[in-house]
Amino acid sequence: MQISVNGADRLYQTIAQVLDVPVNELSEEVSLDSLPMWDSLNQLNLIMALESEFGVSLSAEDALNMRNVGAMREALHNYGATF
Amino acid sequence: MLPAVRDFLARSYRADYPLLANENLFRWQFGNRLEDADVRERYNLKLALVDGEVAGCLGYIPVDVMVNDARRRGAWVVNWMVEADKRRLGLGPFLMREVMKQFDIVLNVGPSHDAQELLTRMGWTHFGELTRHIAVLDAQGASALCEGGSVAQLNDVSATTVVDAARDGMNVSFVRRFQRDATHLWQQTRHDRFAAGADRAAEYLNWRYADHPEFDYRLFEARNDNRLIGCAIYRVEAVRGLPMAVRVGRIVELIAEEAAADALLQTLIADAREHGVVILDFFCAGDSFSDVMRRNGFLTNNDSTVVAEIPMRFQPLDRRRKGIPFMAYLHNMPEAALLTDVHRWYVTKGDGDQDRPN
Repeated sequence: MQISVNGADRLYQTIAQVLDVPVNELSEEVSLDSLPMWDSLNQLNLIMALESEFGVSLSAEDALNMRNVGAMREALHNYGATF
Repeated sequence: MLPAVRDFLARSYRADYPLLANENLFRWQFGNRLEDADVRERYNLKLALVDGEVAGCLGYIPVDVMVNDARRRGAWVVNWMVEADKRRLGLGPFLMREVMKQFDIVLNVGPSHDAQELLTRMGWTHFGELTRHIAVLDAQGASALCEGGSVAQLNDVSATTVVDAARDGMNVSFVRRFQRDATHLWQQTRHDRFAAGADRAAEYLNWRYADHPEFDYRLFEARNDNRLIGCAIYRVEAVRGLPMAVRVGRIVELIAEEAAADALLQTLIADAREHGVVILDFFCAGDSFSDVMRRNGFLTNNDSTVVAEIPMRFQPLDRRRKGIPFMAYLHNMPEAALLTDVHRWYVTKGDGDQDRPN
């Protein structure tokens, strides 16, 4: 999947903002195991931010599966989100 | 107890963990105290399920919290636990957020270091540690609690003001339960001295102390012409892990008019001595009790480095852990700005599950 880094991809922007990391350090493979600041509380913060940004309501099961950026994109895609 | 919850507790805690080993204690702590039979079997636990198994839980104890003269729906949170390999998934904060959404005010006494950090990031207010007042009743005996036995340097407690309760028209007595007038005493005392605290109505006090399934709390009241002017509660605890028998006393409530507080404390000290107690302590928020405690021979950690060395955990004796932090989530309340002064809170070790079997 091609990702536009310069502001076009709302998912990356949201994640970068919550985790306080540069957008250009994100990729679909980045996971909670690869970023130290992606901890328990920030996982919750990410989900709340994504719900707000994309206007969806994620289930607890979605949240549990969202362990990397690609999984977040897939979950949001299933709710019809556009990026 | 639901089998899935039992399995989770068994995986998370040691086999003889009291909430696991004693179903009555579990029901007492988490069961619904409301009289409505339809909801009586509901337990106050938030559970996180992963693949049908409990992977995390957060217990809560609903209480009314009095904030000035307003009654707010509050809860103490307890037993916040997520399985180690699932902690990064956000289950812990998810569970806490659910409780924070449900109540006007959420309170926590004794959060771990990690929990304090997480709660701070979730917007909780940290009020520091509860003040510990300690009376050394038997310095020689108390020295067994400390490494090096330095407590023996201290003198045994002596009150600077000895109250003759009978002369002052007071009658201090041991009781099995509190009567309804305990509610009025609490309301009056709180109104005069505290801005906030979990509601100590007679029903609450009797549930928390008289009906406790494991602990044998000793309840005392002071009356003047039959008017209730003070209540105090403590329990005697046998220290585990020492070669000799040592007992300590833990005061958990002191709700009293000024004169009655002296009489009650002196009664507690005398009663504790009769039970072979070597130290008597009282954890409470802020400095509201400092004068009366000092008058009756209690010291704080700030008064003496020797006192500061006296351990607080005795099941078994654990000299490492010091202090009981107190935190609250206030953002759902319009009065939040009024509650930032810890000295205006009535919070003791009897709140939450701090005074519990271990």
